[in-house]
Amino acid sequence: MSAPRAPARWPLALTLLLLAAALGTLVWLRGRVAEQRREALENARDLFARTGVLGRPEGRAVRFAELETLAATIAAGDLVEEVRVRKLLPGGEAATVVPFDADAREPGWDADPRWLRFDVGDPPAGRLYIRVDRSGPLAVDAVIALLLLTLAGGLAVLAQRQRGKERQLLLTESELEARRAEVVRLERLALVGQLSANIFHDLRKPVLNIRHEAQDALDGIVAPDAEWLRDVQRQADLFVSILRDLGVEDFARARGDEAEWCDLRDCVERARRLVKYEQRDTAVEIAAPEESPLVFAPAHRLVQLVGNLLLNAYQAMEGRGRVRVAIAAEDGALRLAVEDDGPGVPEALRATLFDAFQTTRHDKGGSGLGLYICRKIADDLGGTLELRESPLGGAAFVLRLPAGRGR
Amino acid sequence: MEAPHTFRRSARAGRTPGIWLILALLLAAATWTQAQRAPAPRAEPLRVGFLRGAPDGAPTLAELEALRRRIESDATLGAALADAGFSGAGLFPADGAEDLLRRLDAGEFDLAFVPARILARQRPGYRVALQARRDSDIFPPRGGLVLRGGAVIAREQRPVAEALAEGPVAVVATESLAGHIAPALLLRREHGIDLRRLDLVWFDSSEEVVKAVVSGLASAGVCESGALPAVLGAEWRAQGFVAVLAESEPVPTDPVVLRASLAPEVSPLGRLLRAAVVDHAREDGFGGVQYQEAADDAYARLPALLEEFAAPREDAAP
Repeated sequence: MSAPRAPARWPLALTLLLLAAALGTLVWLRGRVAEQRREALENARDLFARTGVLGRPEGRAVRFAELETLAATIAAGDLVEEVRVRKLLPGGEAATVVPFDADAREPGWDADPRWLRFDVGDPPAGRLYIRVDRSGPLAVDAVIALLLLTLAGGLAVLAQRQRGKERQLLLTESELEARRAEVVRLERLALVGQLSANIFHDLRKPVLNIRHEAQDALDGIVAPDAEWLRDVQRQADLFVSILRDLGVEDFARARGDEAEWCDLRDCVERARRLVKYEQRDTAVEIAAPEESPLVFAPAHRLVQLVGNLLLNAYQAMEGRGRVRVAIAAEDGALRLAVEDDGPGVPEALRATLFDAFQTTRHDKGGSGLGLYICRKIADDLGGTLELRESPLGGAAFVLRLPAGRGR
Repeated sequence: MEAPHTFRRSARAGRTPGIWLILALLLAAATWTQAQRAPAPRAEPLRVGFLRGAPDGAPTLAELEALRRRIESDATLGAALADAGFSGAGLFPADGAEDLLRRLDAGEFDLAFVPARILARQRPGYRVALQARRDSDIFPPRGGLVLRGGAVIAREQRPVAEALAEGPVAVVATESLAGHIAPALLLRREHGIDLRRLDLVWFDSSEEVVKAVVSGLASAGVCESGALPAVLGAEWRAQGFVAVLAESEPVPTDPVVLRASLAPEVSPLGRLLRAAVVDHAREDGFGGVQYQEAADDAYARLPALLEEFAAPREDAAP
């Protein structure tokens, strides 16, 4: 079942882009309208001044009829709601002349901040009061505010989606890492299980020998003399040495990744013994320099890595053929190659060879985790693991560890 | 042989002037016939005079232009005008009262809308045909003399002298008999105040005087009484925006005069013109002002009033 698809971001982004464009256009238009309104109001003021309907600045006479006509003409415009005119009188007083009864009907009407004021003439003979129609600009402002809110909301949604994706990515990575660790643990348990069968096979012989010796002694077939006891002791020593040599205890015990100086050849030997149960007739050759390189790494992980590579070779060759483990120092790095003369890796498998659960041995109990774990360990140690053509004719897995971790 | 020759020459010489005489007579007859068939020459239109910018209900140029078109478009009136030798009608504005008086005295107008003040003396060349009338005027219901009062107003009730002395007084032009002359006479007679010596602010009409007082441009005003309801509405007293300090005696409203030869009593054309003005006013052609029939005797007291107004008063207080 596929995961639910995340909602695509581009339709929302495109919508927001269009919104932003509309918003910009609206703001520009609003500015234009405001500019035209300002010009219209200034023209109205100039008209009052030019026509002289307010009389001389020092006089009191006005031309009511023309004043009222002029004011009505200006008030008839779309942008103007109402026009009032005051005549400035000598002594600093003023009288509202349009409409003539404004002061009588509405004392203090000019305290309303909606009135725009313009002096008429220089020196001023009067003052023009214009109350502009703000319903249009208010509607535009409301639309602009709505668009702004929508835009901000859209951006917030986009940002939240981005944060959600990042969080999901982090969670996925964390979960993946946990699963990788679990896979490694399971693989080790699987190896332990496989080892158990081999150990049982290897230990069976000395134990059975001891049992047979004891049975012979009980049956009186042999007399338990000193030689007999030494033989039983040798069988018991073999049992212990097998256990010790296999290092089962160390391998199965859960340990941390404490790095230590390890002899690379020794690690190869331990790995070889670990997977000996699968070796059967396969010839194993270890080619190492006289002075085997030391590696600063968790030994059990190196053993696990090499053991898996050997196991992979044994299984590929089905108990026959030849395997060579070559250890060398190369260009400041340590190189360990596990080469065989088997059938090699088919071309179709190479691209996914190191992926988890990639195996051609499902029917034979293969988990498909061996090479995946090898690559993982190599990565953890700061090295690389690659598939190469083997000089022996089969496959070669080449491990490179950085010099900083070597001697 | 000599005599016949002479005779022949004499006979040829006597026959030629006769032919020319006949031809001249024929030409004269044709010209006379053609002249008889052609319409009468219309050298002059009916001259309608008026005072440009006259105050207080005088008709405006636009209203008079509508009247002129009405006169010209009326078939009966048009025919009557043509019969009287007029080529239509024309408007002739006078620039100021003096110009109007001079042109009336010169007999320049056939029909004239004039302020009542021009009848300060009898003008034999003209007869009063109509009188203006507004709803606020004083007039008998079934016709008769139309009178209009004047008033002294202020923003609040107070003594007249105090109100007039406080500040500028809004007044209308002296062409307004009810709006200026009648209140001025009232102030002189009853309060001993000479309006001309006050701080006056002149406005174009009594309505503007009311507006000036209400708005505070002037502390008091002198105007026609009818201007108050015209500006403030019928409920103007209840509003309390303005108070009437004194009211003058009613005086006749402005007349419409016709040239004496066109007086309705003697001229059918004059009667048609008078009816045209009345009808035009009835159809609201003069902004609510109606015109009704009147005669010269309506203004009989006017010369005395105007003489009193014009006379200087030594005892009048400023």
